[in-house]
Amino acid sequence: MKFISVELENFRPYQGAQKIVFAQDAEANVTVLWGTNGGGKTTLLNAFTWALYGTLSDDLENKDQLINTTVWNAAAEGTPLSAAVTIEFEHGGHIYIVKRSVYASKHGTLQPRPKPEVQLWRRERNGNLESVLNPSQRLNQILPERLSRFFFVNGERIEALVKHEGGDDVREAVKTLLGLEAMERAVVHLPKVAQKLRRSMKADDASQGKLDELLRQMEDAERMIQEQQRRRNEAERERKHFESEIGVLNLKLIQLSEAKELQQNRYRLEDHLKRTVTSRQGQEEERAKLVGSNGFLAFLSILPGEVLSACEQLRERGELPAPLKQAFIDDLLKESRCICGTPLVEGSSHRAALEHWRARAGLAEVEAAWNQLRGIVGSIIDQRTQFHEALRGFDERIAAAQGEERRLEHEIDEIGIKLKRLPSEEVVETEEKLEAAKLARDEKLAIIGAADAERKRLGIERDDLKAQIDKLGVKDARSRRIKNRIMAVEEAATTLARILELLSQGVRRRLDNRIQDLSRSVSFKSYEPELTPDFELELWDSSGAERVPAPKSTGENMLLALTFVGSLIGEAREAQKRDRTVFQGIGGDFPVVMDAVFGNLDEDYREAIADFLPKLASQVVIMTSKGQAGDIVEQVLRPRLGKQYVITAHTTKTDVSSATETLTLDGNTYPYQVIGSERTGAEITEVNNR
Amino acid sequence: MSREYWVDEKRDQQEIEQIEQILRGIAPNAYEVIKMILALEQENLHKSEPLAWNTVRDEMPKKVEGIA
Repeated sequence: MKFISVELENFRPYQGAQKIVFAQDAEANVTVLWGTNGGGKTTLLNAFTWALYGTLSDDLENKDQLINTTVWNAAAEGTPLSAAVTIEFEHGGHIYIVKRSVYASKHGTLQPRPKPEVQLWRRERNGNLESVLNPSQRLNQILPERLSRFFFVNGERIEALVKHEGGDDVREAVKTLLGLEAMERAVVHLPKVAQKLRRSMKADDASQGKLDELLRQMEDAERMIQEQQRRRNEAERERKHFESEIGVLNLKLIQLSEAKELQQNRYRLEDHLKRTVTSRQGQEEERAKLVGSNGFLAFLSILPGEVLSACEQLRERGELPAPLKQAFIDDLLKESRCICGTPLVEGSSHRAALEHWRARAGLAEVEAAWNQLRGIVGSIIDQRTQFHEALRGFDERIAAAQGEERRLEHEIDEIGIKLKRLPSEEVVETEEKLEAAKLARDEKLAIIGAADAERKRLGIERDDLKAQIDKLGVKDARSRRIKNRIMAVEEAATTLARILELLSQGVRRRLDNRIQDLSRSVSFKSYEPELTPDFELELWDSSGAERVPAPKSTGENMLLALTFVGSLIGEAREAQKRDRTVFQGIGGDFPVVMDAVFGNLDEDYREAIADFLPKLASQVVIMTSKGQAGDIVEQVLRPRLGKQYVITAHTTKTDVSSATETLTLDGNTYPYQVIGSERTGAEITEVNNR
Repeated sequence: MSREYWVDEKRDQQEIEQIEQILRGIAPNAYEVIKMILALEQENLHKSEPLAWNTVRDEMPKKVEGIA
């Protein structure tokens, strides 16, 4: 997807028809729109989302007032008025034009609630415009609304992505990108479809009452599972909130000089504790596996000896074949000489004895089985010894780890006590808040654990009811067919759930790699970003001996959020190359439109971000004020600048202090803020590149 | 190409193979249901979740009637 142009007609502060043509060149891929704060930049960002999806951001005031107020106020009562945004773009080798308009007749000063209309056309090869049916659906297929916040970026809001609460947004974006939304819905809907099919089944006359009762119980179990899921989700959201607060308070303690050393020590101990717990859990799992596969050996203390002795007695009584091979005796008889040298003459007592033994020498299979049994029984004793040794090893390591955990927990507690005894009130207050946040987080973890256990119990109950229903005899052929359909639907649901998890984690892994690659090229600090298995964006400092969470400044947050956007764009670009048949994701080369990405950043970060933005996507539109960008951004972006526009802010006010009246770009001067103008609004002027 | 990407591509390949294996291992009827439901959900993606569920609830029982 590439934007060709956007045209605003009486839309919000933009009076009349005003058009922007975007840079599309691969090398000079950046379009910059310079505008003052409150001068129409955010409206322009909103013009994109309004035209494509009919949505405006929450921070936009007077959302219903879409028609330019100067035009509205000047019009006579009853005059029909309109506002519109038209975007021309290219996607998949086709040119599209989307136009969203709002119409209203003037009655009073306030505009009525708008009822926008959207039209979408595709330009055919002969140049004619062909109207596209279901424009909203088509636009959502090209660039889903759920992804729009990552491609139409508000710098002031995108920082939230890197907070713990941002994990859900990131997860949603990843699923949308990969086309997993449909699969996700299918996983939720299919069990309900199976339930609906069950309800249409008819049991044998005697069982119908039981079937009805089982179905009712199953629906109750399903409802309770959903209730537990809702409880869990709520607790999980709150846990993330507390986790985020803990992160902020931990960083604050690092930044307070009196607490810094103790806090760093605590990080180290906590990291050590985490690793010890993980390793202990691993040992416990291994031990459980060993007990599962070899645990029977523990009950075989006397049995091997008894088996051997019983067999030996049988053998001695001649009830088992002697441990002699028939073939061996045959050879001796043939050679007429015993192994001890005694001649075995026909009719001799020695030969007769050996012939007697030959008859007792067992069948080969019995003999082999006997030897095998002796071998197995004999080895059980060795296996028991090895099993006990392995168990002892696991127990010792687990006990050592538990001891280490207790020691570490004690040291961590001690640090908490020391911090609270420090003279600095700020440290004490922060530590107390941290303790409270950790307690609150642990409470939420307990709720999550309880909800999970309850869900599991209810799940088993539901599966049991389902099994009981499946066992009931059905009345007719129709009900038998329904049973088959239910089986197919349930198998499909289980399969899709497995595939969904596999694909989600796969794309997370790819995005994580991309984020790390992009971060290496843009960040000037040795921090390592990570997209965690929970889809949270984390930043780590590995410069010391231990990996600790890095302090997330506004600049680092912005870089991290932008690297995530860059990774999404990269993944979408890559996705269009892959052959997808069953699962259709979002593929293509997407542009980014950004507002206020340089706000509140120091010069180093402004420079780093200005350098990074042109590499982020094949087409980049940046809206910024000269004050926020500074000279550094202009200098860094210059080689990649394809188009520049100035958004001149007009105001009828005359008492505006510290206004910047003009802006000089490429040697030309443009009006920037017009104070005491005859109207209030925004005016777009293209900068003449030298 | 960096080692990470190579390893990643190998993992992608493994992922595709795992999915193919999962799909090969299921009953033909279940595979048909997967195709039906994904197509239906894809058509209704622009709808809100409750509206999409209404459509699936009405359509899917009819669509699976082909399964004997």
